[in-house]
Amino acid sequence: MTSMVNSGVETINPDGHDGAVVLDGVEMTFRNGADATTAVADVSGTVRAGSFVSIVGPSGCGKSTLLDLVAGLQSPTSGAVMVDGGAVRKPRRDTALVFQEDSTLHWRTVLDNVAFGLEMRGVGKRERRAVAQEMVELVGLGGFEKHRPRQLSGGMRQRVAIARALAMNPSILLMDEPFGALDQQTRHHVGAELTRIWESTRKTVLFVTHDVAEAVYLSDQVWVMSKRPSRLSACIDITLPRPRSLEVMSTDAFQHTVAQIWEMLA
Amino acid sequence: MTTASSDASSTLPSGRAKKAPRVDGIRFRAGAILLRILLLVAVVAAWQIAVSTGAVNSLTLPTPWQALKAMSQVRDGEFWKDLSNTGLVVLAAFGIGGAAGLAAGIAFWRLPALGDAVEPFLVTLYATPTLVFYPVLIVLLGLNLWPLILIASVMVFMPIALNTMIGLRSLSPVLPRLARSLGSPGPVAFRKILLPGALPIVISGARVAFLYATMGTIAMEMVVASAGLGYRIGYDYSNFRTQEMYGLVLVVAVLATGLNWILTRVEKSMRRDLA
Repeated sequence: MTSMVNSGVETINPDGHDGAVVLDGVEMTFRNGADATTAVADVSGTVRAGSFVSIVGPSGCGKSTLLDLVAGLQSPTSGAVMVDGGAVRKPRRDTALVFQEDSTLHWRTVLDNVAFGLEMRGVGKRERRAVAQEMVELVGLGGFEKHRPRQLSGGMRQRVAIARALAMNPSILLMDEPFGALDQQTRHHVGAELTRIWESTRKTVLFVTHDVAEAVYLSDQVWVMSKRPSRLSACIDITLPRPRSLEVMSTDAFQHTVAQIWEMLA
Repeated sequence: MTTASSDASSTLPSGRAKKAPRVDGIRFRAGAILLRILLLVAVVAAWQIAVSTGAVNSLTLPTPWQALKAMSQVRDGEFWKDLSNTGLVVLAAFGIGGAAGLAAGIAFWRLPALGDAVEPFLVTLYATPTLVFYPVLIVLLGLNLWPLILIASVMVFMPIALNTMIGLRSLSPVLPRLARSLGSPGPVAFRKILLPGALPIVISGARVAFLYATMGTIAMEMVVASAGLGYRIGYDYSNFRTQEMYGLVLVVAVLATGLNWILTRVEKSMRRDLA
């Protein structure tokens, strides 16, 4: 029995990478007095370590709840959420979250925002600043270190949030509609940026979005969820070549996949 | 010289470069300042005319020049004793009322049911001239500084408690989630994430509180006290020392304006950093 679990973990952690996520019959029901709402009903799935998986589905289908469960912010009513073979019970040090809303701290400079996660973990000032500087440059905000979030555009603030998450060197990056509040053009731009960053860091990413094209463009695999109480209705492998640029969006293969997913959602 | 300075300005971060003054803005400000000076001159002139035509008895109201000359009393030791007395009450009240207000505001935020329950009382108390309780407190606590400090503390308490609660309530719900996802323990998260986020609103409350406490203290000192700026104004009034009284009123007006200016500056600079 034990050996079986172990061998299972090995296949989802290729090359000894960390950050494999397994959802096993996950159900989440919220109770409010006598009312009970099942946000997620029986979702099972595996995210291989180092892969980019997007979750799409109609609004209110429990996509964000699923992310909260993997983040350890909530515990499933039944079923199990496992990271690298261990059950998730509280926020883990190897997971980092990026939210839809602006979560930058407005009284801190860009550099201190990016260093904030490390600061919370007790990393010394010199070291965390060095790491933060590296991440600021990675997300393309070099030169803005001393700016305050107020002086930045929405897209730049989301890049600050992404850099803050990356600075903690997580094996799993959980992104909850991080570009949801951005306009279309900025979305594409920051999406291309994220692809570039992901291709150079190869972290496990679980990315929630309602934008099917964005999901196809970014991911190795797209999970399609059904209406509430939601289940996983399909896992679609995206075989578009990498490195990917925005031009891939005009190819037939891309458009075909997007259409295919839209059909499932309809 | 010119090239050196333009080089320096081009290396400034763009955030600062944006602050180049606008010509329209300058013209508008100059106009406002001119109007202000004209208003001031008009008031002083009306004052002077009222006294010199005999419309107002010069025993009741000195001329502006006499009042201005009477401001020289700031050189007396007496004035500094009064100022330090009033200052002591205001600072003590700010310390006591501020700490209590901050603690209460945090409690009202943590326990939303309690906050909702007390909010109408707080607002009512805010609008009540609490200094009417001063005589009662003198009877209870005796004629010393404590009745003054206590009432001024209540004046400080209310805006700070209210604004702390409102400031914390208005924070984006993403901030507590961020704190939890980073695994920060409650008190650390509060100090590093929530309190700084609420601080701009708390600080505006603190400014209002400081001015309330100062005005309230001077008003109460006019009723009963043995020292203080308000006491001195009241004393001059009842002893027909009208020149000295108006001189001191002018001094208080200058002090209040200066205090407000400093506090507004502090609030603005903190808001710039925090908001």
